[in-house]
Amino acid sequence: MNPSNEEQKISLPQYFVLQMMVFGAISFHLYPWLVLQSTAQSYWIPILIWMLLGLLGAWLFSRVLALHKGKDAYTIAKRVLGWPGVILFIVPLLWFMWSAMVIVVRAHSEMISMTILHSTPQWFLDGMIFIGVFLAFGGIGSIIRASVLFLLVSFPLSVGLVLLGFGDLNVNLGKPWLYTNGDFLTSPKFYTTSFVWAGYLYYAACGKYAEHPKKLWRPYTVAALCFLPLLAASVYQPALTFSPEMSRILTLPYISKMDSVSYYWLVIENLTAVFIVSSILYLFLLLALIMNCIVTAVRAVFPSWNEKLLCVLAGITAYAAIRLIPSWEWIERAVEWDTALRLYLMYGFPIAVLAKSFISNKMRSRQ
Amino acid sequence: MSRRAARCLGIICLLLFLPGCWDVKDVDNRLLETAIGIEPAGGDRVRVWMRFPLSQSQDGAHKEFFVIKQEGGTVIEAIDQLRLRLPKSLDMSQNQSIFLDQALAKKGFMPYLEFTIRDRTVPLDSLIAITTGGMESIFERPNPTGELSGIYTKLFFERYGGGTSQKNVVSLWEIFRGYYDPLEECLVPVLVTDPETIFRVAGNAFFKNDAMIGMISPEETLIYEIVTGKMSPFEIETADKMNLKILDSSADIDTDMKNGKPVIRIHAKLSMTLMDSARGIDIKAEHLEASINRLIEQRAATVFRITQAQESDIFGLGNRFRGKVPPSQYDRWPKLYSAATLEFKLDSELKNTGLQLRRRPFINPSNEK
Repeated sequence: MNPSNEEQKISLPQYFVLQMMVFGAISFHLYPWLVLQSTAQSYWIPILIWMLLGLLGAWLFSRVLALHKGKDAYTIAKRVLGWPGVILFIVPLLWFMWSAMVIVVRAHSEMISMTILHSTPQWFLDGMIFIGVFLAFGGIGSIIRASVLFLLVSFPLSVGLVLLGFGDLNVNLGKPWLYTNGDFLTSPKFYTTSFVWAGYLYYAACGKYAEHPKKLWRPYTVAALCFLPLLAASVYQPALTFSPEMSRILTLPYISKMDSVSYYWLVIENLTAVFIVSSILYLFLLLALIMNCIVTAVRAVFPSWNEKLLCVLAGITAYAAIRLIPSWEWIERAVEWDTALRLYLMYGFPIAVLAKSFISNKMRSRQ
Repeated sequence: MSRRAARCLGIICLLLFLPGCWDVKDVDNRLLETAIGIEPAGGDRVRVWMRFPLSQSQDGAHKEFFVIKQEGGTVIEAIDQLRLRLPKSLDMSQNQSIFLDQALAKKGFMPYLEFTIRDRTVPLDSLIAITTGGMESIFERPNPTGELSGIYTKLFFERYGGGTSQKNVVSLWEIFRGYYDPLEECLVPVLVTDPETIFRVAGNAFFKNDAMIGMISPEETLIYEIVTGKMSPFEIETADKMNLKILDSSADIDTDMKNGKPVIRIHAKLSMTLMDSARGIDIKAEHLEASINRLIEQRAATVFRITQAQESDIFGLGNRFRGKVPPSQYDRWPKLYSAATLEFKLDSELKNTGLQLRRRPFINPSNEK
């Protein structure tokens, strides 16, 4: 359908935009809650640790993509590891992406109905997944073009909201600032926060359009650095306003923080609505990107299957699954359960592929 | 071509969903409530008061507001009962202030206010105040200065309106912080009815957990404002019959743990200007500063004594001990606070004497006999 995609090239700034959308869509809902739950000491330490681990993962992953330039991660896995690669990598990745899509859509529709659209039925809000399907029809090219446009609207909004949140802060509530006893290492919530930094996995399909796949960790790094202040603010602003003890009992600490913002000169009363609008823009693009990844993954195994039909199929199955999720608590738990699989995909898989290719190269040179 | 047209039609149909007005209730079909009052109604029951401003077009009876009250087992039950009596949809999203009766505050506010943080029905930045002497005079009387209902209380407290340092302004979320954070307690204004305006500030109630356990006077609230750095720049103090305007205040707080006991040293600075010198009396600036220091230090000692006796750390000093006390010990903070050594030292400085010199002008003695 999109022959232009075949010879398409994606520049590093465009990868950066894609990664920004990924960060925007997954940062603000569960992340602050998880970090606040994971430790009673300095919060920036667990935040920074995972960011650095995320950079390491992105670097490994870009190495994998560089093994065969112009091929997506699935084809590379298939070539290097053979059919075991399909089972060990493509199947878990498919499951991971599909479940990420389900969770993120449901989390947003819960958020919307908790905050602004109380009377709109959930089944209708969950339908926003089909906007992602629609966007994915256009292929990666149109996803990127739309991302650039959406980012111009939503990122300034996110930054503005964070800046507005700097009122009413009490620095003493963040103490101790420079101390940790490592209590987060024993908390499963700490490992769960890795979901925010797993964004580079979505390069799996579109990574093949890169001129230098080796450099793909760079756009990820720049996007991570751009979002680090926002992520830190989403954790620290509720903690410094409401006290960590109170933030821990809030389902969505960052949204409650925005509810508490009040300035005499501020014309907009409902900052939460502005926040939701900006995060939905991120969400649409993330959905389209995931859909694209899923379709490419399936087609790596069954090349003859129709792209659009697969998109629709992924959308319908995800929608059905979204409707089956019983509660918000379940979403929190699902993200936690996903941790082992996510860590495997983030580090285990790239290391396995790199090791295998290293060994076979050695053996070839010996022969 | 027809395929393209079909696609366009499809997109236009999708656009219909964009406004997001599913089961929407138009503004003219809602009653927007701006003030809530909660008072006891005998036994475990509560009575909820609500005041709705009415727009000019609806004034059949030339009323500017409409008041309704309803009893119930819980606040939410009473609100639900209210809806059985209202002609339009009840909308609490524009609420500006919540009044809680003193009797309920003494029992503990959580059972009455918890719904506000659980559900986004009431904005978290609503003002909260404790009232004595019933809700009727607050809700039934028209605003003497003509503001819309709800705005009146907001203006009364907020610093951009009639707020002063002695009117401690507290948002709804702040009292929840006082409740959930073991290292601090909240300080909520107490209102009594006033014959000319609607109410006046009688003092500020301090809490332990969610129960009101005592009250400090408006003058004593100044100490709270100085220590927490919330002082607004216009506050009058009287010493030696001279009126001084406090322009600015700052507080350096030094905290330490010694032998398992907190030691807190507060060094506050005030800069002032002379407002009114009782004519005929000439006092040196140093003398005036010293008497202000003495006056406020004595007052501070009283406030610390009262709050330490009741184990209520209204200043949030405990937050400064985060990291110095292990988190598992946070719950013991009220005890630690009551045993803490608190030193309060004030340095005040008379910056200037306004547009008039305080010194008596020096006139050359006349040579005329």
